[in-house]
Amino acid sequence: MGAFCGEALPGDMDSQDRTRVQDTPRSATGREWEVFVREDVDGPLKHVGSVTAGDADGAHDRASDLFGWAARDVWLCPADETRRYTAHTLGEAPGGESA
Amino acid sequence: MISVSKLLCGLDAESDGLRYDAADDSSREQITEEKQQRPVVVWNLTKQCNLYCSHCYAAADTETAPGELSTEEGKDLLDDLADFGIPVVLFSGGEPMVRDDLEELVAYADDAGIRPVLSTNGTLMTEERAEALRDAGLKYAGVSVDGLPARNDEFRGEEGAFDAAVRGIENSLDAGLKTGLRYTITEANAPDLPDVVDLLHDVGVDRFCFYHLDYGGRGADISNLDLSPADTREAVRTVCEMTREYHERGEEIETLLVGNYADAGFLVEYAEEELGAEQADRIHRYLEANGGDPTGERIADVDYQGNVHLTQFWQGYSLGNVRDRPFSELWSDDNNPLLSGLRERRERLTGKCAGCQYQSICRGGSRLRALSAGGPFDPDPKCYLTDAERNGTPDATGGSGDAHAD
Repeated sequence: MGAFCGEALPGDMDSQDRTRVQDTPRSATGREWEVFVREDVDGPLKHVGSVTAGDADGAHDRASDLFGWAARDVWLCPADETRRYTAHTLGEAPGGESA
Repeated sequence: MISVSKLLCGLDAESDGLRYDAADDSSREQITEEKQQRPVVVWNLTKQCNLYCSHCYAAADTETAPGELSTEEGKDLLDDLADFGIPVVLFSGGEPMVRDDLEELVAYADDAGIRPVLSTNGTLMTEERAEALRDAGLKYAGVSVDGLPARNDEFRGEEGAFDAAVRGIENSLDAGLKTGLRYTITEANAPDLPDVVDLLHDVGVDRFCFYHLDYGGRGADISNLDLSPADTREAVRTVCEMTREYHERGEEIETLLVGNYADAGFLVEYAEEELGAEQADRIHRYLEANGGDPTGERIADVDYQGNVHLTQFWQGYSLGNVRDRPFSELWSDDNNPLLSGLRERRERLTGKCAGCQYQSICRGGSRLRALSAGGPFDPDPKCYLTDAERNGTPDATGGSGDAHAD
């Protein structure tokens, strides 16, 4: 793939190289929950996306439906309580304000 | 997506190269000359719609929702998709025509080398917008109609929606755009199917896509209106018979089935019964090239906020957001066990799928419906093949096997 606008080298980044991704609700039909799973006892905890559910128990059920066959541990974070900062920018010149 | 007209009547279409690796055999200009390696991307431009359909997978609303990707963000997304080799972007919604930058984005996709196509309810397709979309490079407009006028209007929550859609279809055809029907089959509208095809064929439509109901968005709320296995089988048989009847009259129509890969096994069985073993073998080979259910491989969805989904119907789970990471990276992330598992599902499929003789051309059917019944590798609850068909054993009844469908 060619260079994508706003890409930076990971090793060169400090906090000002990242912009905050906008925090409008990620779902219009329920609360969004970021999902992290660990597959093996000594493996890393990995972000594997997000599910839509009304509460944490519902989100755990949704995540278990999807990843129960593979995941040992499941962590869930409300997307609206998660601050996302990235060096990747979409639709703006590097250094511009977050959308 | 399975082309009934290609398989049963040998009718070429521009997209056969995507579906069947059939470009070399086709007399039509093909979208690709290589087997599809990257997904077709559905982009739900907006959650807003001017209608309120009872089966909407996107749970669209009459009001716009916050956080839509801007025009500039959309162009960056299209750049990434083009670099990644995405063959087709389907602009969808909500109703994509409520966005006044649709033509600009269609033109951008076309210039970037992605084939831009549109899914619309047709009611906003004026002469002017049809011409503008044609000039922007739109290659195809699929217009949703879900029954004869009264039934369609009830489904779509708006009196006059059928007539407005037909006017939109006429405007699209008059502008020279290839235009087709999108029809979601339910218990309520299955009897209307042949009449709707006849009616729209008279208008000039020659491409008809029939969708099985998937259980996403408001579609999950009306899963009780989904056809029974026996009625699904009958509806698919109707599509096959109708396609062949048009062909025999010399009136070629392109017909496609979407969303239930039990159709692949059924088509082989149907061909064996109606056309003979040689044709059934040919159809099986095409369907193997097609590759069965495309979830996680040959279809992807980006919603109005940039969340990436496994299919357009599977809105309740997102791989990530294109504001955080490019689509190309999210789609290529081998660390996601679900994505990897779906791509290597052959060893994971359970129950009646595990030993099914049609697994290679079906791959378990809808993974979203499977999830509604248990887990991502369970059988699609809407498989309507009989045990005898799945096992490749003679049907004890000697009939079509409808009584055994489960």
